[in-house]
Amino acid sequence: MKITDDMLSAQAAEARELWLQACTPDALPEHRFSRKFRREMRRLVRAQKHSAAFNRSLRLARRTAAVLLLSAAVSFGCAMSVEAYRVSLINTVVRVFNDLTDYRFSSALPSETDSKAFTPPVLFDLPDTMHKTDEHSTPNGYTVTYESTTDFLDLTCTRITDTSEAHKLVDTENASVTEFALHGSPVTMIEKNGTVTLLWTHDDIVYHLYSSLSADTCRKLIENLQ
Amino acid sequence: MFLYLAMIDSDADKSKFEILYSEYKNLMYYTANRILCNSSDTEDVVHQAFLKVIEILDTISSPRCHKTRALLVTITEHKAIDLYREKQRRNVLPLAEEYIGAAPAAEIERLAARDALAAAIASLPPRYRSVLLLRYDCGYSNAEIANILDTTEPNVRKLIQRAKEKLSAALSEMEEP
Repeated sequence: MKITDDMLSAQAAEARELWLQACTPDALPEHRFSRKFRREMRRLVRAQKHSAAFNRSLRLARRTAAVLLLSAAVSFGCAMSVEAYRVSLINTVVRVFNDLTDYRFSSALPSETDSKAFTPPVLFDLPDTMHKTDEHSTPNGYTVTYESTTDFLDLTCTRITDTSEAHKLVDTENASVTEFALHGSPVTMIEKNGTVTLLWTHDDIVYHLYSSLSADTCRKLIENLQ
Repeated sequence: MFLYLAMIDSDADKSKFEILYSEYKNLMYYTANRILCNSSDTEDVVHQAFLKVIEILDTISSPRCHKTRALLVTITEHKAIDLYREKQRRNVLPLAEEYIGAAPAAEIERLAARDALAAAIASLPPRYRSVLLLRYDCGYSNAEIANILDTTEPNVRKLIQRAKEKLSAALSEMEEP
């Protein structure tokens, strides 16, 4: 029997229904997706909500973001007086023109606090709906995660010594980048697709905060960080 | 999903992609996990499938219809099979591999009381069934099908031709006394 296009067109819809009924159960089990998956999908959904014109504006802002990052990198260099950091600073600047920006923090000076135990910072005034869901400490670092049904916040602190280097890779494509001062240290804030990344140093510690909370909320949180 | 979405009443306020995500994510997970049997790989495949959906979003007119449902399952199924093949060493018979992800034949037979051709199409291996449904049910061109399935247009034409030959052979067997 010769199968024609007309025959296929006539039966395709029924074939589709037969196939769907055969390969999917009546009651589809609900799957709890991982945090990583939910976060990635939040980004996609938010990006799709923007209009084409808005996305074009973001693409144009990419050049502005690159210039601002260059300024932020130079400011970091001016705030720090260690020669070895200026070498790392140059590496950061080189990477800013790719889709990602690679921040590398290193120090040629031995840490004076190396022998002291790392004291985890405390976040005050988090929204009441957020609860701590993960926490991890090492002698030279600390990570904590807070989550609610709609938001998340990750805070990572890393001590830099002459024997260790901190490295942060941030997606800066189409991102909005600003800078402000926190207790005399420059803070770089990167906003993209409804998430905020804050990157700053204080003494010999690099702080990295990544959250879906608003930029203003994140800024207030780190201003009150103890 | 997001709490604020629950407060949005009408579809007009949600993007098409949001609707597709909330309606089909579990179905896509189920489809991929049937093939991969691994939660982490399955989630990666579902994510890749949604990236493909974004590419062809303009071709989807109605987020909540059976054609769209079939389209998303097809995309997910193909991504899962591709990953399955990448991860498996090819030590299975080609025929067995061809039927990875195919709907159970017994189930189709149970449902297809009437039309042999529809049942035969539904019973085809995924890559043949997909190209036929995308072409004759959804109305995509060969070039669009090639983009959806990450293959080439000549390959799509070849698959359609082979699918027709398989259907012809299957129906001829049914007609034999």
